[in-house]
Amino acid sequence: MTDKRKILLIDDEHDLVEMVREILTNCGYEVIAAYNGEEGLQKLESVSPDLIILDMNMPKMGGIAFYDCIYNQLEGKSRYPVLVLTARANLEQLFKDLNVDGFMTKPFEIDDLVNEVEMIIVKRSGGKPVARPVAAAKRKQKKILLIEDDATISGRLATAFVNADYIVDAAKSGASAFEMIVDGQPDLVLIKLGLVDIPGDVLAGKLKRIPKTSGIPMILYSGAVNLAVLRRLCEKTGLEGFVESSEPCILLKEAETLLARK
Amino acid sequence: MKKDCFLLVLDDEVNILNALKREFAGEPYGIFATADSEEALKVLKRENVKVVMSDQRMPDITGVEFLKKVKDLQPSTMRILFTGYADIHAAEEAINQGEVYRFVNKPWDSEELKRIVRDSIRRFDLSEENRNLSVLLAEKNRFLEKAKAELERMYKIQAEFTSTVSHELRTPLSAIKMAVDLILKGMVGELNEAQKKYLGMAKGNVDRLKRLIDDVLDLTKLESDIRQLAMGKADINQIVREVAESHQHVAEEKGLFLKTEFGVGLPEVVLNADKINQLLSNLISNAIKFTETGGVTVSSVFDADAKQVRICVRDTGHGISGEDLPELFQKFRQLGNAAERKAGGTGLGLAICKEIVSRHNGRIWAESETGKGSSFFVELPVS
Repeated sequence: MTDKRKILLIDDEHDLVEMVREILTNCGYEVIAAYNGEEGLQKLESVSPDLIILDMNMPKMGGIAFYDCIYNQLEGKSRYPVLVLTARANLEQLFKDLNVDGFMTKPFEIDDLVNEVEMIIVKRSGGKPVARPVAAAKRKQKKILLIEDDATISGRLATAFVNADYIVDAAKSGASAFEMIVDGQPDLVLIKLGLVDIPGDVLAGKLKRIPKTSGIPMILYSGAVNLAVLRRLCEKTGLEGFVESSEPCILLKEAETLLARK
Repeated sequence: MKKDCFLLVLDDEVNILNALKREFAGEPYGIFATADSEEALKVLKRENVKVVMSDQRMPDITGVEFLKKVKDLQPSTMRILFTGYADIHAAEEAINQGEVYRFVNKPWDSEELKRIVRDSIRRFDLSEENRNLSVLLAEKNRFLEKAKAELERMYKIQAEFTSTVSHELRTPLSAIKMAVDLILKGMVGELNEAQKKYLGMAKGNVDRLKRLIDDVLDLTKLESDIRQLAMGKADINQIVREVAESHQHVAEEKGLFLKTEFGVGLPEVVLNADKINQLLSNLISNAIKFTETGGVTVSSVFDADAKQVRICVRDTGHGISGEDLPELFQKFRQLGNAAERKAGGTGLGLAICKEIVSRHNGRIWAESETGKGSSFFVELPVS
């Protein structure tokens, strides 16, 4: 019994808790349930879970307040892996505010929940990042997600990549990046360092923490800081590449090198 | 005869006043003639005086000084200085400084004087009308500004409300969905065929409800966000290629072809790539949904004369009847036969398409022949 992975499930919806408990218990996890943030904190006094599944809207202590309590200021992340349950409407805001391991939007498929839980636990215990999604493998052309909030630069970069026979998705804010990666399954993500809503390196850190997005190669670029700074940021966040320019031809070259290496 | 507007005359010589009273008796306006400047100012405040005429040389006040007081009191009044030849300099200066409108020499020519006064009254009326119009215009503008702000506020409230409601709907829906999925997966025991069938129906409808909530939220977001969409230049063919590719396997699974015909020389179009992607995705998945044999063709052309890029999604499905065509793009106007309902649409897909196209200043319409298929056209302007 003791070698079972423990999951702390915090949600005020009793029916949902019961069913999720049933599902995850069947998958071989030990599930501890709490019905609000306060109860969740109490449970943490006696259990050290491998994952916390956390609902957002709850009475007494909501998901965000609970997250703040388990957030480790020094390390800049929560003390436990966290999978957030949310309605889709505020996903962008939550992605921006929280530094967690995954998001599940309600209502969800049972298989998606099980996969997500497994992915996070495997990754947190030092496992290999998850294999590339099927959709990406089936495509003939490579797909790039460009995260750039300057419309002119974004347009210029997109044109260059389209001309080089890539499919280009463009996100205008860091907050929308997560949803666009999950929906679009790009082969490579280009992130501008100086994004207005979330700094590019912070955004990359978030994406690299979430198993669902961490397997995708990412390049951080900026025309404004020097190479040493970029290199340090990339090493810190585990990014695959960095470019000290937003010139299309230079970025294109780096992208091609990186994709060829994969 | 009741006279509703007046000429006010100030002169220190009583016989001139009398002469003027006689002179203007037959005119359509009344005349107040006085030698007392204080009384003149009282009249000015009390009556609808359009023109003031004043002598320049008077014992206690000069005409220019008096007319300046008139101007301070009623800036819109037309002011005429009544002068002897010797005062011509004072008159010129007064005109130059904008204190008076005209000056009249003594002795006066009767017809000319009447003409000048009539002219002044017309001038007064015109500028009054002008002022009224600009006040009206300013009021209208304020009203429109207010209405616009109110509309924006209402849209925002609607969006917030929809967001809250959809959030609230999703919570119980996710419990229902999970329960149904649990049983269907056989996680709580074997199901017989009939149980599977009916629970399958429940699942189909739960998923449809989920899509409906997503669509409602989508449309409200689109409608309430009256700010300009984030636009960028993009290659339409590239977007078409990408969306078509992502629907390829769905078409193949149904045994349909899905092909693209790209127009040559398409210029870049200023658009919001996400929204146009969503638009084409809706149209293509609709086309696949309502086609049983044959397939779907997506084509693009550039109409250089009209400066439009036109995309057409053509299917070989059962078509749409003539009376249904105009209703197609309205919310919840799903075309009614049971087979179509089975396809599980939300009734909002085309409304979303229409909203997206109109946000691009474009046009969307459908042409169809029952039994032969339908074509959906999207026209986007090339700026």
